[in-house]
Amino acid sequence: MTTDLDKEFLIKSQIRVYTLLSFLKMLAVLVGAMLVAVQTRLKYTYGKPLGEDYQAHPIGLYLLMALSVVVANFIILILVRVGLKLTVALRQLLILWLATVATTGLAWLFIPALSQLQLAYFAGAAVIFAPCVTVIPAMWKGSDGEPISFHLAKLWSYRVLLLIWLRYNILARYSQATLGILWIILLPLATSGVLAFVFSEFLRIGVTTSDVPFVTFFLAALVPWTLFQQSITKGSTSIFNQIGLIIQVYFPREILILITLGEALVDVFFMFLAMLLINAVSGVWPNWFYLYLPLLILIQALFMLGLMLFLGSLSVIVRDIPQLVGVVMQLLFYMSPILYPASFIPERYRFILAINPLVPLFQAYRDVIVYAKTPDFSTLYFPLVVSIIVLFMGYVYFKSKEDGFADRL
Amino acid sequence: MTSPIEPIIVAEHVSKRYAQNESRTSLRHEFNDIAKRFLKQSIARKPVEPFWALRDVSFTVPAGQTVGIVGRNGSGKSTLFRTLCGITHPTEGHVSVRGRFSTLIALGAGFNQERSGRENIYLSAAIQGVPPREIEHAIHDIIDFAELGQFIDLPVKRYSSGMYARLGFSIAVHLKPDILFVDEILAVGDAAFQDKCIERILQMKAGGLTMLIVTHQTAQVMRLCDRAIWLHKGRMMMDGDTKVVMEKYHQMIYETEILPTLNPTPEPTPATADPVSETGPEVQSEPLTLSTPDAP
Repeated sequence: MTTDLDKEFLIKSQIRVYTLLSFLKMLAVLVGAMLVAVQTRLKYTYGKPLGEDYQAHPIGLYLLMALSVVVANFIILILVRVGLKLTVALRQLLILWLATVATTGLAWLFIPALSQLQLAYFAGAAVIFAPCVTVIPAMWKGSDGEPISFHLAKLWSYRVLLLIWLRYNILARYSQATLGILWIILLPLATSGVLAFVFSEFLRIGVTTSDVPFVTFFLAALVPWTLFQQSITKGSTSIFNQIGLIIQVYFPREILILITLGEALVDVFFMFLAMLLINAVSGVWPNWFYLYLPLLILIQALFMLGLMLFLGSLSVIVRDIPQLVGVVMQLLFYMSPILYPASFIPERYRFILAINPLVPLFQAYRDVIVYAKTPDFSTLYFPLVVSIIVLFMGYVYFKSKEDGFADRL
Repeated sequence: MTSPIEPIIVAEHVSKRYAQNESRTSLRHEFNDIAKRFLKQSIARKPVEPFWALRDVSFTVPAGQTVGIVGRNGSGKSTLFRTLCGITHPTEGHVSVRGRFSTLIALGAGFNQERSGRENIYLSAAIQGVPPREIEHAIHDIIDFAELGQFIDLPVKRYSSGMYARLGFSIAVHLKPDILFVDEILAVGDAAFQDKCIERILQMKAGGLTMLIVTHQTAQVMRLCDRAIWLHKGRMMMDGDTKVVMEKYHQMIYETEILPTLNPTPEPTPATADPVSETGPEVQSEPLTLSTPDAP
């Protein structure tokens, strides 16, 4: 609980920082849009072929962006002074759209080497992203309407609860069985072993993976997929599974989601160990490029967290969500290149890959685990940007619905 | 207790509304709704009957006071508690609670069934916002008070319901709260432990603890509370000295509930038949014939 005095102090000290933060936020949106545009331009073969020395995003581009945001801010500020009545969110949306137009125009004028298609991608992405971080979250403001920083500070004050809770849940899960610690490794070993065997020996429909064993190829994507599937499936039910607690005690409810994510991460870690064993049997050993894995897992975790927050709170209102999630997961499993390499997908269906942020992630996992090479970072722009936007929107949505959990359950 | 006038709990015009349609939470209901609307060719939604669980409730509690909240079932007592604890937000109005509070509402809520009582002390404290290092020194007191002895290292799933509740109670009173929300304390354990609980609560009260107590037991309210608030159908009927409020409250209950059943006057007969008449015409005749011999 904070007193009104605390809040007043917070507001006063925040006002100066606020201007800077909102500037950074807008710049981040534009940078994100540009990164997505760069990846789309470089990876999908539409438009004129690009030269070897093509500079996709020179530093000047980002300077232009910052300039556009400042100019757009001033224009809107003048309009507001003149008497235009706008809410904060609407003001930010207009600034973003103006800045997008300005950046596109300036870049087209001053950086002629830049692909115009890429600029078009950028404008499209920025126009779509802008309402996602301004107007849409503003519509979801809950009855208390606190800013995100307030909720994060509150969550931080409950960090001990998160750690204790997670620890006991994990210990409780693995301590009851007689075989104890052995199960931790046996179960994922059996699961991934059977899956790998069936898909590599029985169901291997024309999948050739040249010089690497199919098991390794398959498991490198199956393990992150399992992490994704487990988190989302359990995350969508984790709020209303704790009805008893929610209606009786107050604590930041996103802790329930974070615990679910933590449990899934621990579970899948053991599956990862099982994968290492199976790989070793097939003659593939761990390599130094595994050091990239935390980065990939981080991007995936951000994405999952956003979806879990969104689905977890939505399923309190619409109880069918978990069933729907089950169906979508089934579809997504076959639609993602897990059983087959991405190159198997015919050219005209490649757009499916372009909108699924899991695809470049799985590819990166494979690069590291199977081919022992540095993942292509330019393919990770899209997953990274989408993850951050999804997480932001998911968190705002969750917080706006959180108040109603106790009333609806 | 330097400034006992300073309010520690403030509720200003608190109202809480529950829309009746909020309970419909599945897609099937949504589709039904859409289909019905489509067939009836009307865009207007069915008028929703709002239910006000609390209506314009205002009061302040100075530090160190013990307030009993009385009222019949469904009068909004629990909703008021949830609002004060921050579990739900009021639809209208504003609440502010200063200081650390602990609840004796959910005894043992959030316990991990597989872990030991000792570990659950830390967990339960953390759920109420108290980090382990602050509860460390009180561990022995908690175990002693709950009379758990060596059972404390057993998983709580093996506990009897009494042990479970005793541990929950013991944790809540040892968290050193500034404010304690109590809902039906005497539901814990046997008579001896209940006395101990009351004793402990009186002790904490003497130490300057602010308390809000919900109970249906008049004796408890009279013994513990300095002041009573009477809620009826979400509205505040009275707020004042415990004795005066309890007298009025019982008078109301006597007049509206007990009196009509003791000496039935001719008027209640159609009144009792009223709800039946809505169900169907053939049922209506039955209670009428039954009630005629009773009337004289």
